[in-house]
Amino acid sequence: MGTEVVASVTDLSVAFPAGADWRTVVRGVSLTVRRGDRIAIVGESGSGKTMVGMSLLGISPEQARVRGQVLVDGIDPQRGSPAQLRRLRGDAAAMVFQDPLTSLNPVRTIGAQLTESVRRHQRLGRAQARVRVLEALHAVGVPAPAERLGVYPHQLSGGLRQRVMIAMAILNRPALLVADEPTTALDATIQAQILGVLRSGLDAGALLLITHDLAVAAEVCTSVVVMYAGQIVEQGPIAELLRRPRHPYTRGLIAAVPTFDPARPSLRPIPGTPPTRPDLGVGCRFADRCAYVSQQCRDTEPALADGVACWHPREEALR
Amino acid sequence: MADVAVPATATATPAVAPARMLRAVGRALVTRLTQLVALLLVVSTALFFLLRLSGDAARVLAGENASPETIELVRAQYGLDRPLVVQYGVFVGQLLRLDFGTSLYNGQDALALVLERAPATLQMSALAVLVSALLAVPIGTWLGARSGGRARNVVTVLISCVQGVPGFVTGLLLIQVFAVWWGVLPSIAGSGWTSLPLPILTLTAFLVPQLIRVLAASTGEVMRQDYVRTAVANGAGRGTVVARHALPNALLGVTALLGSQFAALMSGAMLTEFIFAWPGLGLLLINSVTTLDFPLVQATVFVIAVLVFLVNLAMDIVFQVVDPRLRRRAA
Amino acid sequence: MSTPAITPAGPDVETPEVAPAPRRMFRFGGARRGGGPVTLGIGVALALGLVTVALVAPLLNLADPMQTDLTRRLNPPGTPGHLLGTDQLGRDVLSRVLAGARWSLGIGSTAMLLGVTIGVSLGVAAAWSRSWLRTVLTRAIDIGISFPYLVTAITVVAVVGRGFWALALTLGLVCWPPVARVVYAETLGLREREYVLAARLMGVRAVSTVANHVLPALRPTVQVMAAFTFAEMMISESGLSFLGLGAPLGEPTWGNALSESRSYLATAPWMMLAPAGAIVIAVLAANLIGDGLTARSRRRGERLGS
Repeated sequence: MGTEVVASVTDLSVAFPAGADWRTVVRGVSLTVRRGDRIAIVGESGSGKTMVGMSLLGISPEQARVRGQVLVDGIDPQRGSPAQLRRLRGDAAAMVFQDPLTSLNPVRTIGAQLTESVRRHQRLGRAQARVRVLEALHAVGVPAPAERLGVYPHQLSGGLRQRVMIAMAILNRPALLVADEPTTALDATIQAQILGVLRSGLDAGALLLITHDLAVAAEVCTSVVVMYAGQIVEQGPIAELLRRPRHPYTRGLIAAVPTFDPARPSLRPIPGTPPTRPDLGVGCRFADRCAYVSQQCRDTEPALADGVACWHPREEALR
Repeated sequence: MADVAVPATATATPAVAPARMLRAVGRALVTRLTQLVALLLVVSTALFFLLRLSGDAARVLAGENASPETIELVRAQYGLDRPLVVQYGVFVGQLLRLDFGTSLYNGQDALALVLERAPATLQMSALAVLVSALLAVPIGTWLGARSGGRARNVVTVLISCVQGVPGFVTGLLLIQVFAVWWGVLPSIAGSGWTSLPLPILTLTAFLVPQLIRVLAASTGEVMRQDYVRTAVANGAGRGTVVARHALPNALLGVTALLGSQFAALMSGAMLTEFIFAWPGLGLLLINSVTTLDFPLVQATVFVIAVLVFLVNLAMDIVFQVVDPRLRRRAA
Repeated sequence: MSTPAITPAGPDVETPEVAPAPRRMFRFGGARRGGGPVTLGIGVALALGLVTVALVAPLLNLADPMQTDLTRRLNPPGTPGHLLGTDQLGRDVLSRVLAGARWSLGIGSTAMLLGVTIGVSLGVAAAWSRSWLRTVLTRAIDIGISFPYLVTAITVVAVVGRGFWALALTLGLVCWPPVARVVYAETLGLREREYVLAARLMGVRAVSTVANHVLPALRPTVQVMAAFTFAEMMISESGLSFLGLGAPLGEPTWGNALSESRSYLATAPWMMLAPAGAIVIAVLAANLIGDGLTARSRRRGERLGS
C-alpha cells in the first residue's frame, strides 16, 4: 500500500432538484484513495454510492448539484477545464459500469471503441494502439483477442462484454478505477471470474468497487466504506469489519446474509426501509430501524469518529 | 473458460459476411416484392372500380359533350357492355402486359407519357432530398444534443411554427419574393438551371421541419443511452460524442421512418410541380384527374406505386447493410 | 440489486428539470421533447381561441363572406369595413377567413376522428391477431404509410366528388396509417403487461379485454396522435383545395382562399397571408397540444416507473 494519494474527497454532497427544493443523496462523504488501495463502497440502492463514483469522474447527471472538494490526480472533476477533464476521464481515472450491453456503442466494433480511447489519451499511431488494445484484452482474459476486434458488442456474451469494458478502463493505466456494480448483471459463475480480472488486471492503480454485495466486496477489496442514506456509517479494513462490525446497520447487513444453519431463522432482514427524504429531520438516519436506538440518536446526528458514525457502536463480535 | 459461449458469428472472418448479407437482402427483396404485388393489385382493382363507380363509365370516358352515339361507340370500344367479371379479366390481362391504353386527351400511349415525365420528378426530388439532409442533419442533431437552454427552446418553437406553414405556402412566398419582387428567379420551369432553385427550396420546405423534429428526437434518445455515458467517462468531448457515437445511432433511428418520409416527399413534389408547372409525375396526375383522363390516371398511379416500392426496397437494403445488429439476425 | 419495498428514488431516477445546472464543462443526457404544461396550455388556449372565434363569427357584425362587391376589389387591409382587405371579387377577407375556419376546422376534426377510429381499430386488430391475419394487417399498414397520401386522396376525390362529407371521408381514409402503426406498436407492448396477461389467462374474451384494459391504456397515445393527425388534416385539406381538388370551389375554406390568392400574389398579398396565417395558427395549436400531451404522458410514465 503506497502512500501517494490518488483521489481525495472532502465533504462531498450531491443533491437533485425535487420540486422547488433539493433532495440530497450524498452528504458529507470524505474519502482518501491511495495508490494500490482496493476500497469497496457498500450500500443498498439509494445509499448514494453510485453518485460518489460518478462525482469522481465528473459525470454526474446534468441536474445534480455537486458540492465539496474532489480531487483526482490533482484535477477537480466538477470544475476542471476541458483539457484537464480529457486527461482525467479515461486516463487518470476510469469507470466500469453495470450493464455492459447498453454501455457499449452497438454500431461500432469493440476494436474501434477501444482504439478510440487509446489514441485519444496516448497519441499512438494506429499500429501501436492496436498492440496496446490487444495487451489490455489479454490482461482481462479475452481469448483470441485479435479476432475479437472486428466484433460488435451484441455478438459477445455478457461476461466477455464486461471484460471488454474493463479492458477499456485499464487501457491507459489509470491511477483510479471505479467499478460500479460490475458483476450485478452477470451470472454467479461469471461473477467470480470478473472479480478475478479486477483483482489482477489493475497494475499499480487503485480500485474503488461500488457494490451492494458484501461478499463481492470481501472477494476483491481490502478496506470497505459502508454507506447508508447518503452518509458513511462505518469504514475500515474489511477483515476487521466482517469480524467486528460496529455500526448496527453494518451488523444488520452482515447478519442479513442468508445462512443454512438450522438453528437460526434463515432470513433476518433489517426491519423497516431506508428514509425517502434522508436530508430531512435531525439525528441519525438509521434511528428508525435501529434496535439500539436512544434519545440521543434521534436528537443529534453522530459524526464519523474512529471509523464509525454511531453513538452506541457495538463492540462485541458478531454471533 | 466458461463464458466463452460466443456464437459462431463472433469469430466470422470478413469473407463469410457477404453471404449472410446477401441472405438478408434476399429476404428484404421477397418481402417487398409481395408487398408490391399486393399493392399493385389493390390499387389497380380500386382504379378499376373507380371508373365504373363514377356514374356511367362510357359517358365519362366519352367526355362531357359527347352525343349518345359516341357514348355507345366508346362503350363498345372499351368493352363496357360486357359482364363485370369479363371486364375485370380483360383489365388484369392488360395490366400484366403493361397496357394502359391511350390518353383520352392526346391519344398517346398512357404508359409512355408517364415514363416520359418521371425523370423530371426524380431530378427535382433527389436534389431536394440532398438539400434537406444538409439542412436537417446538423440542425436536428444540434437540437437533440443540447439538453436545455434558451437557444434550444427558441429554435424548437420556431420549428413548430415553420412546420405549421404548409409547404406550398412557402412556395408561394418564395415566388413572391424571388420572382415577383426581386425578379431574379423564374417561377415556372423551362429556363434551364435557374428554374431549379425555387422548386427545390419549396420541396425542401415540405421535408425539413419534420426531418429536424425526428432527428432531434432520435438524437435526444440516443444521448440518454448508457454508451454515451461510457464515451464521456472515457474522455470524449462533446463533438466526438455527438459525431461519432450519437449521430450514427440517431440516423439509424431515423431510417425506420424513411418510408413515410419518401411518401411525404412525393406528396410535396406533386404540390411543388403544380405551383411551378414542373413537368413531372405529380402535375401529370393532377391534370389527368382534373380532366378525368382515366387511362392516364391508372398509368400514373401504377408508376408511382412501383417507384414507391423501389425506393423502399433500396432503403431496406441499405438499412440491412448499415445496421450490424440486423446483419446478424439474417443468419 | 436489492430493492427495498419503498424505493427512496435513488440517484438514477430522472427528476423533473428545474433550474438549469451551474455551468459544467460538458454534460451528456440529451434533449427531451420540448413540452411541459406550458406548451400544453398554450396549445389548448390557441385551439380554444380559434374554435370560439369560428363559432362566434356569424354573430359578429361582419360583412357577409359571400357578398361580392366589384367596386371594392382588392382593397388592402385597413380599408374601412374590411379589416383584412378584400379579395378579387370584393369579398371581405376577414369574414371569409372566419367562415373558412368553420369549414376547415370542421373537416379537419371529422377526418381526424375517422382516421383515428380506423387507425386504432386496425392497429389493435393487427397487434391482437396471430399469423396470417397479423401479417396481412401489418403489411397493409406498411403500405399505407409508404404510399403518398396526396395520390390516394386525389384519386378518391375523383370518384367521390367534392363536398364536406366527401372530403372528410377522403382525408380520413388517408390519415389512418401512422395512427395504426403507433397503436400497433403500443398494443403489442400492452399485450404483455401483467394485468392484460392476467385477464387473458382468466379466459376473458378478447373484445372485453381490449375494451376494458387496452383501450384505456392507449388513451394518452391516441390523444397525442389525434392532435398531430388533426394538424396533418388541416394541411392536407388546404393542399387539396389548393389544387382545386378539395372543397367545392365556392366554399370559403382556407385552402380555396389560398388557391384563389395565387394569381394576385403581387397585387394583393393579404389574400394569401390571411388564410395562411390562420392555417399556421391552427396547426401550431395542434402541434403544441400534441407536444404537451407527449411530455405529460412521459412524465406520468416515469413517475409510475414504467
